[in-house]
Amino acid sequence: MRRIAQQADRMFGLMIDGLGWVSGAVIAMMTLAISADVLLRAAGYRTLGWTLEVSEYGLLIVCFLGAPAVLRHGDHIRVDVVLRSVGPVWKGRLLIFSNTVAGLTCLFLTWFAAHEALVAFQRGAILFKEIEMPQWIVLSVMPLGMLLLTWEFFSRIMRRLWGIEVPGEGSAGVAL
Amino acid sequence: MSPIGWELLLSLMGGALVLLMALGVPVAFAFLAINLVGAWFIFGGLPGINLLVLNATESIGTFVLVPIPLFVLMGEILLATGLATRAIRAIEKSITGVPGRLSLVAIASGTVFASLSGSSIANTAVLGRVLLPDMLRLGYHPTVSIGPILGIGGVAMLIPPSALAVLLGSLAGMPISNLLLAGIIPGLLMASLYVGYVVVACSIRPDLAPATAVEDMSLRERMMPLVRDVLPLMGIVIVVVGSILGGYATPSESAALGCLATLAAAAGYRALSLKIIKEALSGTVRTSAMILIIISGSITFSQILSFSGASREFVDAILGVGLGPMVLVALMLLVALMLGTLMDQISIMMITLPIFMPLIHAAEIDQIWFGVMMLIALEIGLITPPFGLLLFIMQSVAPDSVTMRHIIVSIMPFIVLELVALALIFAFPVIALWLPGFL
Repeated sequence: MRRIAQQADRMFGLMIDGLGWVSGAVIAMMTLAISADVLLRAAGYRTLGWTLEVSEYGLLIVCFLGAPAVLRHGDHIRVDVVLRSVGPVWKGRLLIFSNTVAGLTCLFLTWFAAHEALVAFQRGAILFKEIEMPQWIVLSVMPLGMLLLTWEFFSRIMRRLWGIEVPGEGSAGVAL
Repeated sequence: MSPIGWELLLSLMGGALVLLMALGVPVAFAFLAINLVGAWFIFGGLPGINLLVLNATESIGTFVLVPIPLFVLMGEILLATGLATRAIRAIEKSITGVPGRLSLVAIASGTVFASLSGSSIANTAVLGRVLLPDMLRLGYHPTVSIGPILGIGGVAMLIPPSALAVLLGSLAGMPISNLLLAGIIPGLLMASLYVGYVVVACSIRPDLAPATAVEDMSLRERMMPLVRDVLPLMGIVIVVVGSILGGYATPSESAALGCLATLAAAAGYRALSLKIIKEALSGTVRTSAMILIIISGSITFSQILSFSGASREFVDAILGVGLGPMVLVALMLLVALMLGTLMDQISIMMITLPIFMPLIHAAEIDQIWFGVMMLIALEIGLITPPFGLLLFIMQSVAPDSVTMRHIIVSIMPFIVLELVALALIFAFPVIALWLPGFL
């Protein structure tokens, strides 16, 4: 059972890391497209037009599909005032509790966000801006990200219970 | 409207949020959890949850937030290519014959790097790694070695490109161009205060920074590295700040141009490779996704408070007390400073801005002036014991001989200096508002 779970976790891990790289590629694409737009405008040429809209969709991808990779590597901010001041046993219990709360939150959001995407699909809703984009595609980003976050939070609990090191659950946190 | 009183609602939502955060739930997910419950009760059951989902998506998909990943990318490229380290070494060669030489090198390098990177953590880490071992080896006292690095490290939050200023501006609904420009003079003011302190302290007590023999070099040999390794990087600053100030580009566009200029600089130094680009993008995704998902949670949190009427009632209650605008601002900054001893800056912004900003608007206080002071208060929080995050960053990059006690003692004069800068901007708003006045 444990071996199957660990194999599944490795597969999800690959998918999570892969989507992290997709997010990186999106940031690179945003940089180039926006720069091209400004330079074209400065040179008196017609701008690309779709840059603003595509960048907005890009942010959605970075946010929701990048977040599971961030969690996988233990880089989400936790306020660790209490975690620092308790012993290792209580710290472990608190981390299981906090990962459960976060995992359940993501699970609920997966369900409701998927429902919204399905409704948009059934209605055939289209977002009319520079590009005609089916709304269900935009709304599908969040449930996919939330599903992977749900997996990762519960996977962290299991890894802790199995005595496997969990990245980021012993460090100070992250600042800007 | 909420079926329960606003006081109870505000206490329940705020209390539950702080409790979840304190118990270790990651900040973004603490907001999302509270939002789920809040949306159910305030927005009215299942339709409320559906609205929450749509809000979370819409709050992120906005062009205003584009500078966050792009400003972070600029700093990551400079770090990954080693250009930051080269610039520090060049500045080190150019500063000679002054009391506390390496401390001044740290302050000058930190200011330059702050104008190239939006990350205080990167600023502190790179200065701590490159300069601190030399300073300690030469017998520099922690007050003029660790202190200036920690102090100047935080200035990256003020001087553009600052990802945190963009975050503050977008959450608070402030014009981001104005906020970015408003941080420049206060940032330079703080750097000047640090320089003044180091020079005076080391002149009075030369043992704080023992004078050491400097490699004998001609003026040309000293200045050439500066011309070669620092001056071209200033082109990046000109692209970012100049394009905003000249009205040629929005903050999002200036951030993209800044990334392009940074890539061009790295290519010019032959420091660019596919591996380095991948490393920089990976670091950028880590920071950006973390910030963006927190934003998605916190914006909905503010909307729930606003829809319930709690925000408006709270603002009316505070204004009803009859506090003057200056007292109000002072109290808000005090709250931010106190929270700074316990939490990171993003969490503080998320908790306080939904309450502070309606007060700022109602009391007709200049929001850019307040925004700059809020950034400084957050910066002070970064270096305030016991939980200032930069203290821990410094401990992780400093040699083992440096204890947390050394770090805490060393930072005290710089906390005082930052409070002086805050008081000056509080008393003379023009320090922050002069530059944005040109827009």
